[in-house]
Amino acid sequence: MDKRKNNITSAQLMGLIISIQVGVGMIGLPSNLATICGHDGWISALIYGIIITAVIALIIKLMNRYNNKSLYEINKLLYGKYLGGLLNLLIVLYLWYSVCLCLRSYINVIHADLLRSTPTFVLCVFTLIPTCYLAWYGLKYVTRFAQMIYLSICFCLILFFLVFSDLRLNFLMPIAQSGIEGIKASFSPCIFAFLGYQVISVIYPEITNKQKAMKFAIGANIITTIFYVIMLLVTTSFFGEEMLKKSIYPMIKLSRSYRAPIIERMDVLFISVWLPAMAMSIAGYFSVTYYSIRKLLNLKKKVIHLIVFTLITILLSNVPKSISNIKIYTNIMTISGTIFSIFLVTCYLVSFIRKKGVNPHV
Amino acid sequence: MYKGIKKTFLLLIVIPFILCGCWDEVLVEKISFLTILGIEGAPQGNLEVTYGMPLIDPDVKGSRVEILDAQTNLLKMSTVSFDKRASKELLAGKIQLFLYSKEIAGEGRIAGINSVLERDKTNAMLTWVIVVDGSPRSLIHQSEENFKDKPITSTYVNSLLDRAVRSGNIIETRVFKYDLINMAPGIDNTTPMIKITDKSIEVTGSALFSEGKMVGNINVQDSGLLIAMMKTLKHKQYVYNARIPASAEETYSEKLSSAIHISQNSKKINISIKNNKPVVDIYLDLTGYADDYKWDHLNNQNEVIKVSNYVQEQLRQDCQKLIEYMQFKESDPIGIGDMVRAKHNSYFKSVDWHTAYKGAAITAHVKFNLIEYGDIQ
Repeated sequence: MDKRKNNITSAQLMGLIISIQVGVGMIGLPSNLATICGHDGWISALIYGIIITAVIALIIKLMNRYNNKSLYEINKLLYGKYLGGLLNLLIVLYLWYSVCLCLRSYINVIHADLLRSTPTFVLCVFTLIPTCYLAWYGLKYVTRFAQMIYLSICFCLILFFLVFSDLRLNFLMPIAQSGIEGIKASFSPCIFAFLGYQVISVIYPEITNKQKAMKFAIGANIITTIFYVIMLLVTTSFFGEEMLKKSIYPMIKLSRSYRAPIIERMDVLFISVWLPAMAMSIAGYFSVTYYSIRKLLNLKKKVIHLIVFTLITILLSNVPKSISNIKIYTNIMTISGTIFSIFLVTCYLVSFIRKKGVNPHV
Repeated sequence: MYKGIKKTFLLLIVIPFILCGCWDEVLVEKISFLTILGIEGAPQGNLEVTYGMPLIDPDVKGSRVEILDAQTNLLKMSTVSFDKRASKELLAGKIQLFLYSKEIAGEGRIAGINSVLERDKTNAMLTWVIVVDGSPRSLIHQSEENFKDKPITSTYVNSLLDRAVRSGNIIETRVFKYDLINMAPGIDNTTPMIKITDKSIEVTGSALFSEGKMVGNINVQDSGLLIAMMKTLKHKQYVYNARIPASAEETYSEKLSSAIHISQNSKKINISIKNNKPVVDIYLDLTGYADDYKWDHLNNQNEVIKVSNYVQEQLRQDCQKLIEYMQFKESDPIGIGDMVRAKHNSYFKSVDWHTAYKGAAITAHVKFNLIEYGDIQ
């Protein structure tokens, strides 16, 4: 494996985490939260954002204890060759599952909003062409492209500013009406929206300036949290919780509702700016999964491996057939992601008991 | 050599995919943009739908708009039916106006029909929702047949409505806004109202809704006052037709009235619950410019105060009358219910809002100052 092509900086890691989290996570978040906790979704996003920041800090601390080792190597040190190998396999399957589901969600948005007659399979192929191209060259190029997310976020913030005069702050009141129950119930959509931070544990050895990794990884989650909170405040005060409950993609509806001079259809512009961000979610998961498979199976860089991996991904992503079907698979991903996060925290605790290979460097 | 052949072969496979375009290709020359749509009731609960599409084909002479009528059970089915009769394929992405009859609005069917625009992302959600005093079908037909000196109906009405919004005579109601207000608890919709006369189409005011059904209407002057209580008249060109103090010998209308361009400084709404009844005080701070006033001494401070007080009392009375009318009709476009829901949530949950609104004590307090009177002393 060409080491340098996978080397990334902490700042690039930050862009990668934000793009994986925000790209697909934000699309359905406002409506999912409105269904569960009414107009208090922003409070849930804030609380879960803080919790996940703490989880990220623990993940980085775990990685720091093992100098230049990825989670796959750490698992073998902590749990032995066979159990460690099985856990590694499960992690790769989780990542692969995430690629397929993100791809399907992305295709669904394109299908519903842009190209209704174009077959899903064709959309999958064309979506994965640039992703494969980036993954072929390595993580460095994927993370460079991931910086596009800042542009997409800026565009969203401009849109929020433009609709500011139409916001009804009364729609956010009374604050915290859903109470603790609402926050507990919103666990699933919030966690799904934040998923993606676990990739740190896989690609950590590729970070060149590890001493800054903690700062940038936490920074990434803070940016995502702030963005989600602003987005939820704006969409809720624009649509009201009743309308939000009826929408599937409120952000696209928001862009459709703004009357832009000259451009007229703001939604078309929004989709064209947001598509690369969403595609980045897929590209991020895709390249990390491909990287993991190569690393675990110790594969040499060959086109055939990438093609086989891509074809299987396309086939699997076509399994969910409808939006309600995708929701079921999303729940599975949320549960798996939560288990994965708990597992990472457990690894950190176990590392104090089984100290084999522990070699703190930061 | 072998690698070169492989690359060429790969390129040959990829190029047809890229060049064939996509499955959703739309050629502008082959489609007709639907710009105006009229909906009224038909027998057996069906809809009488009228579509208007501008003709941009240079081969078609004498007609500017293609108009199609049909009776249907669903709006989408009418498109399917029209597709078999229209000269070109129909596309609703540029639709500007949804004209509903008063009957349809009164039956509370607007939100249900609007859902087609929300569901299909190719449709425009910024379409106007308008109630027609009369038949939308005859409005579209008559305007195309009789008003040759005016632009096509959709452009003409769209321009009328834009100007009416700027002059504070109607509240801007687009499809997305209508639908979200329709769903929000404690607030009701208003839509612009238009009617056709012999020589023109006229914006007559606003339709008032209660729980999704049209229950009444107000004229353009009252619509302006409603905007002052709902949002603000700031940056609007709202002109109030005021009566002015006159001496006994003055009997001509130009001596008894004044056109006052009103601007709004602020609005405040205080809400409290007393004796299980909402008590609402609406405070409006307005300023005015005398645009049309008899030759008189408006440079005299006493005269200005006298006129200001006189107009202030009229504005207060008009606002109060408007509030009473809206309470009588159980229509709450100001969103007092929404404010009660936000601030007194337990009370809001314990009552049927529209009944409580009818019995609420709502008082308008208006402060008015005439600050400009032009170049005449």
